[in-house]
Amino acid sequence: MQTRSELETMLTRLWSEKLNVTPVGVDDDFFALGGDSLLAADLLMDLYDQLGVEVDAAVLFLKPTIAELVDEVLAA
Amino acid sequence: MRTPPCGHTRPPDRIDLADPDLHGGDPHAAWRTLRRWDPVSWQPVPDRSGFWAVTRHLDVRTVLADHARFTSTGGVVLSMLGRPEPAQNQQFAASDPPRHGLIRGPLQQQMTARAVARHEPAIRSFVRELLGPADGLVDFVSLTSALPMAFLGPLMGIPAADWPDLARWVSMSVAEQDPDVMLPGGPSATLDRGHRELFAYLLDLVLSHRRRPRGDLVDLLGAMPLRAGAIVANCYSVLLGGSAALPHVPRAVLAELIRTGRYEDWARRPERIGRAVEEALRFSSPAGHFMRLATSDTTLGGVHVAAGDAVVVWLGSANRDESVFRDPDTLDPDRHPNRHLAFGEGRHYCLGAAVARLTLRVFFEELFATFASFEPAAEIERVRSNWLGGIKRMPILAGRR
Ligand code: HEM
Repeated sequence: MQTRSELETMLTRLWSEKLNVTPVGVDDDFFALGGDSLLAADLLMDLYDQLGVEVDAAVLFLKPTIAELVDEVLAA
Repeated sequence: MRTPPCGHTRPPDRIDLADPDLHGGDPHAAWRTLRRWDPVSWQPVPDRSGFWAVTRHLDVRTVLADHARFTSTGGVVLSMLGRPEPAQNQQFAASDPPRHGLIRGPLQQQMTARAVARHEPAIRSFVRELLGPADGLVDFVSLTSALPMAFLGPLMGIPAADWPDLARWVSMSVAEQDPDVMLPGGPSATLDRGHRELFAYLLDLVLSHRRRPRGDLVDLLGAMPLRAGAIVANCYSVLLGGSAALPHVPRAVLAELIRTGRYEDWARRPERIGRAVEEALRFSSPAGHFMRLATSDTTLGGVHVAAGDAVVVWLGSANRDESVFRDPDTLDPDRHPNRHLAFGEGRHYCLGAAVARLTLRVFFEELFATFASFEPAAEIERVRSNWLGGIKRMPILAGRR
C-alpha cells in the first residue's frame, strides 16, 4: 500500500500524461485543466489497473481533484 | 430566403427554433410557417454563430442519408453547437462510416426485431406492474416514466432500484433548460452534472460487468478494442437513447385521444396496433432534432450551405409535412403508408427502433385492456427543451375496465 505522497506523485504523473499539462497541483480541477468525461474514465481505469483498487467513480467525476481521489484510494 | 410558393410576399415573423420556450408551447405553428416560407432557415445563436434549420421531409431525409456531406463527428444535438465533441470518432453516434459500423455492427445483431422478440414476456410483465395499481386520479407522466426499464434491465443489466437517480440524470442531460431539472448554475452546469453522473454510473456498470458478464450490450461494448472512455461513451448513447424519448410517445397519444374523444376507438381494435404504433411515433416525434456539420460548401433545398456550418433537422416538423402526410395534424391509427422519420434515416437510424416498437405495442395493448376511459384532470404541461418534445405533467382520471 502506498503512502499519500507516493499516491500523489503517481496521480500527478498520470494526470499530466492524460491532459498534456504540467505542472498539475493536487487541488486542481480535472475538468478545468481540460479533461473531459472520456478522459476521466480512461484515467480511472488506468488507476484501477495500476493499483488494483477501485473507488466509486463519482469521486473523480464530481470532486475532480487529486487530493480527493487520494483520500478515496486510501480509504478503499 | 426562397420565394414563397403562391404569391404571398409576407416573410415569417422572426422564429427562434433554439428557444426552449417555443417548444414548451406549441412548436407546430412555427414549423408550419418555416416549411412554407423558409424551409432551410438560418438561425443565429448568440455567441455560437448559428445553424441551418431544416424543416421539410425531403430535405431532412437528404441530410440524414448523406453522411459524406453532413457529418456526425461534430456533435449531433444543439447543446453541442460550437463546443468540441470529445466523443468524436469514439462513440458511434458521433462517428461516420466506416468507423461507425465497426462499433454499431455487433450491437445491431442484438437489436433486430427478431433478437429483441425474446424480451417480450419480460417487457409485458414489467408493463403490467406499472399499470397494476393505477385507478382514479393519476399523473400519466409518473405512471410512464419508468417504461424504459422494461428493456434496460435485460439490455444493460441496470437494476430497477437505480432508475430514480438515472431518470433525473437523463433529464438533466437532454432537457437541461427545463426548470424542473435545471440547477442554480444554469443550463450548461446542469448538462455537465447530468453527464458526469451518468458517466460515473456507467463506468461502475462496465466494471461490474467485467466481474460478472451478463451477455448483454454492456458486455459487447466492454469486449471491443476501445479505450475505457469510449466504452463508457457508447454505453451512455444506448442509455440516453433508450430512456429519454420513449415515454413521451404514449403521453402525447393519450393526451390527443382524450382531447378528441377517440380513446375507445383506438382501444377497440387491437388488431391494427402495428400501424397505430407507427402513427403514434410520427405524431409525437419526441426526439425533436438532430444536428450535422456540412463537410464542404453545398446546397440544400436551393440554399447555399458553407463548409463547417451546422445543419439541424427537425424531425417533429418533417413528420407533419403536408406534402407527405394528408391531414398531418390528425392522429390517424390507419395511416398507411407512413414514411415518418421519428427514428431518423440512414446509417444512424435508431439502434433501439425494434425494442421501442415492441415496448410501445405491449404498452398500448396493456393500456387498452386495462382501462375503459380517461378524462383530463388538470392542464397538461410540456417539457421546456429544444430537443425533447413532450409532456412533463399530465394529471388524468383513469377508469378501469
Ligand atoms: C420512441 C423512442 C425513440 C426515438 C423517438 C428515438 C429516436 C432516435 C433517432 C431520431 C435517432 C437518430 C440520431 C441521428 O441521426 O443522429 C436515434 C439514434 C439512436 N437511438 Fe433511438 N430513439 C428511441 C428509442 C431508442 C431506444 C429504446 C434505444 C436503445 C435501447 C435507442 C438508442 C439509440 C442509439 C444508440 C442511437 C444512435 C444510433 C447511431 O448513431 O447509429 N433509441 N434514435
